[in-house]
Amino acid sequence: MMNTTTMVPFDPTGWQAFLPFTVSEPAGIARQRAVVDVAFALPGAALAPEGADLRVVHDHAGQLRELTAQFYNLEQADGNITGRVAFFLDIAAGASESLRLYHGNPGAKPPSYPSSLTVMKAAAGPQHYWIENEFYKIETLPKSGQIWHVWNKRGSNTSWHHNEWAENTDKGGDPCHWAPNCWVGYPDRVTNGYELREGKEPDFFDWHYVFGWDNPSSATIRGPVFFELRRWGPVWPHPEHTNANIRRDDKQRIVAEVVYRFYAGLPWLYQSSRLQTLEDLRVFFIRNSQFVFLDRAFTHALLMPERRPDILPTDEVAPAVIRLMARDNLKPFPRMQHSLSNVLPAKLEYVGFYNSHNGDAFTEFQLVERNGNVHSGAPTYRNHTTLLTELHDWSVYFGRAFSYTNLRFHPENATFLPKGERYEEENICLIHRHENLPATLADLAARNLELRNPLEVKMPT
Amino acid sequence: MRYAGWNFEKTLLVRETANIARSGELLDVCLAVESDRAANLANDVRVVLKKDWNVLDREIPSQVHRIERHGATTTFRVACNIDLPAGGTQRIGVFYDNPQAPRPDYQGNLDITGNGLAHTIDTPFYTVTTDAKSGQLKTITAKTDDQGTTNLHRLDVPGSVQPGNIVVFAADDRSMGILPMSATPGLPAPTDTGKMPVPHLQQAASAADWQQPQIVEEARGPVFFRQTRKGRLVPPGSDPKRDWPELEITYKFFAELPCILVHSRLTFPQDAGVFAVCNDVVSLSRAMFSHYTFRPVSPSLPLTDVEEMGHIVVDAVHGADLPPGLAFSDFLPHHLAWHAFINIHLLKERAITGIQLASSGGATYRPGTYVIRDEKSVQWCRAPIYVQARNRRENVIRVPAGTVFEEANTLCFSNWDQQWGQRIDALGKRLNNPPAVTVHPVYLGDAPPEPFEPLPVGRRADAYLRAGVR
Repeated sequence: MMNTTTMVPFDPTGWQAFLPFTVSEPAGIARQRAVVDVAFALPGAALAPEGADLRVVHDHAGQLRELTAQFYNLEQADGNITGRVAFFLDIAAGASESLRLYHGNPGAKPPSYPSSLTVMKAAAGPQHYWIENEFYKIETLPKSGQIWHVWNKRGSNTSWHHNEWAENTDKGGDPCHWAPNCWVGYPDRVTNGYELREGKEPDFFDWHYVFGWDNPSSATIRGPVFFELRRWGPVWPHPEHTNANIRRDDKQRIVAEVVYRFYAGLPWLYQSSRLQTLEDLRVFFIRNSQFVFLDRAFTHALLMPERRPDILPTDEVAPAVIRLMARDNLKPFPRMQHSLSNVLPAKLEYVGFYNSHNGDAFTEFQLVERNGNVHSGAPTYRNHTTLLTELHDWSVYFGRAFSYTNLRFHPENATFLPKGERYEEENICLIHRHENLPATLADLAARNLELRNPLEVKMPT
Repeated sequence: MRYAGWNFEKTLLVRETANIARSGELLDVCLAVESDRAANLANDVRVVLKKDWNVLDREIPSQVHRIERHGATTTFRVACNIDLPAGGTQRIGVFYDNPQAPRPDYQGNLDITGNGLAHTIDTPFYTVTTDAKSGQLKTITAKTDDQGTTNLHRLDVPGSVQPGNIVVFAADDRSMGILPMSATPGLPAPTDTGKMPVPHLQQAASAADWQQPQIVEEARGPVFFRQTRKGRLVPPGSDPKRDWPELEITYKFFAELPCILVHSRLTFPQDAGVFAVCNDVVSLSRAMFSHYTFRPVSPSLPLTDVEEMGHIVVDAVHGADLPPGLAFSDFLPHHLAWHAFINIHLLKERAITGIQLASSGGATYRPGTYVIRDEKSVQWCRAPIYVQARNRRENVIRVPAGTVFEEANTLCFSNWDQQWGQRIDALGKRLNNPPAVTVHPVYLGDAPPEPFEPLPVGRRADAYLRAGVR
């Protein structure tokens, strides 16, 4: 197996102890640069500044080699060190590898591992970052930190963002990542909805979009393996696209948390979000898992259903490959936003786009989707579906809408969300190159299998 | 008295209750009369619109069929077309018992030529021919109206015959051997694994394979033409003496409706191992269409909301690089309200729509609506059983003896434009919400149960409860 992780010989001289652990491959597929991310505890150990004397070492028949590792969330309490460590590992199908977590070396200096991941804090705002590895370059929105621009370095290397609002066109356009978001409706308000045709901003709902955050609470984790950007806080009505003349109280209605994790040497990023209501609400919709792209960015879409429990294990589940319509203005009803709605389940194995001309491809693997009611535990909401929206000369996106009613502005169709309702998701967003369909489908199938069968770590408790 | 010589009259009270204006609405009513008044029913029945109980309006073309004598009681059906305003009522007189009356000669929109299984049926909406061997639809030519000019659109794949119903049997190597399967049009090829050739374990039979099925019934007149055929579904090259499933298909063509009614009943007389049971299989020329369009029925959607159509590109130009086989995986539910192949391109605007009326059946596995494309054709089917990996014996689905799959669908022809979706939805709603008809006076004798008659009337009214479609 080709070695895709950095390993250098390790000399155990001077190290006080190590914690042995094993990593096993459970799914019968060979992995390269698989992410191992595990919690650990080191009893009776003292935490050096910056965790300088912690190492992950691969024990291969007595040959010790140090792996590039990133220790984080380190804490010293009651004479123990606790924390997490992330590292990459190449492992054969079904194999089990022995590793050691070395600690306790007063002479050790903080390691300096090479990494293809670069993170640059930019100056346009408190959440403005440039994140780049060998596969992609990503820029975040300066105020909110949402993914703004995406460049596929193995594809066209042009940003996929679109221009939702004309006034933003010269300012870099609008973000690729829009979720989570919620349109909180006020259907009993006497509104200017009657004058919508005159181009006024509607005031019968407020746009609560996380990309409208203005410097939310945030935390970052940096290292040679990954960069994590975590943001959270109340989601206020979007300042640019909500009528400022409406009298509003200052009550917090929705809070959200969005996490990105970008890895060195991997073409994908991890994204999760959590949205919670703080009071009873009427909403016109909630969406998550929504990445919005320029309509011309992609030519085709891929939709892979989950294997339903009633399908025989020996039967096949195949993805749908469909031609997108917005790019070439092929929609039968151009003004209708959705090409597909109400037949796609809320959770799919993956959804994605590719461009058959320039090789750009983006696929989202939906690992976790929770549409739960935290009070009752019951699943909620009518019309819970994945939708595909396309508009010519505009945008294309998949979104998971919990309540995206088609006549959503009608007062009778507003959806009631009880206080404490929560929506959570975890996705892997793959930025990749499309050469041909069989190769892309095979690659996605392998990645899907790998992502849903993480390596198993056995660590002494 | 305009109907001197006629001795009796039944009154039909027709009430439109679904608030839909109806033009050319088909009424097909079963009447019971005393047998001593039924000597000339084939000739003497006249249907007359009435303005009041004792005020005649005008006579309309009618068609009498299924005249059956049961001792002192005779039953018959009479069919006609009427216009009915939304929420309106119509009183109709059915005159009968005139021994001297000649058979009326109504001129209508339905032109039928041919005999046996081979026919040409021409209406203002389409011209179709049926196959001389199987009786299945062979050529399908839609007529669209362009400001008074009729345009013709040949929709079928030349040289092909509509499969109608397909059963993909798992080959039984004890009795049949493992037979190489001749490619079934449109059905995905079995998946092979490994490098060694895997024997194909399937063999398919469709109604297109029929060789001179029995003509069970036939009725033709100014209102409709009906033919019912019945035969075994025998895979080509297989032992015909085995107890293969029996398939009965009824086609019904109408003078005033832009639809063909297709009713099928598939009966398994003994246990069978299958990979697929596909009903309502419609296979058309890919070159003639740009999109597949469907209209779901979302149980979770509030009644105050609208259903949204979904659209998939199927044309061979923009979809040339799409792989053959299933076009939309297994995402489509079995019970769509309707679906269609459409062409939105200038001067090619047309649509052919399948509106579901009813279905029932036993065993199911991955039931769904499946859309299939290959180089030349696009195909839809409604499958109660659909295995995708047909190269494994573990995937054989057992259909128990006595299982019956029954389907009724209409195949509708229309122009396509931006209002098409609303029109089709209105048609579907109309077909699934027939007007209420009562017969007076009530027959006091012992009337036998009404014989089955396939009608363009559905049991899917629930699919149209929401605020509309877009």
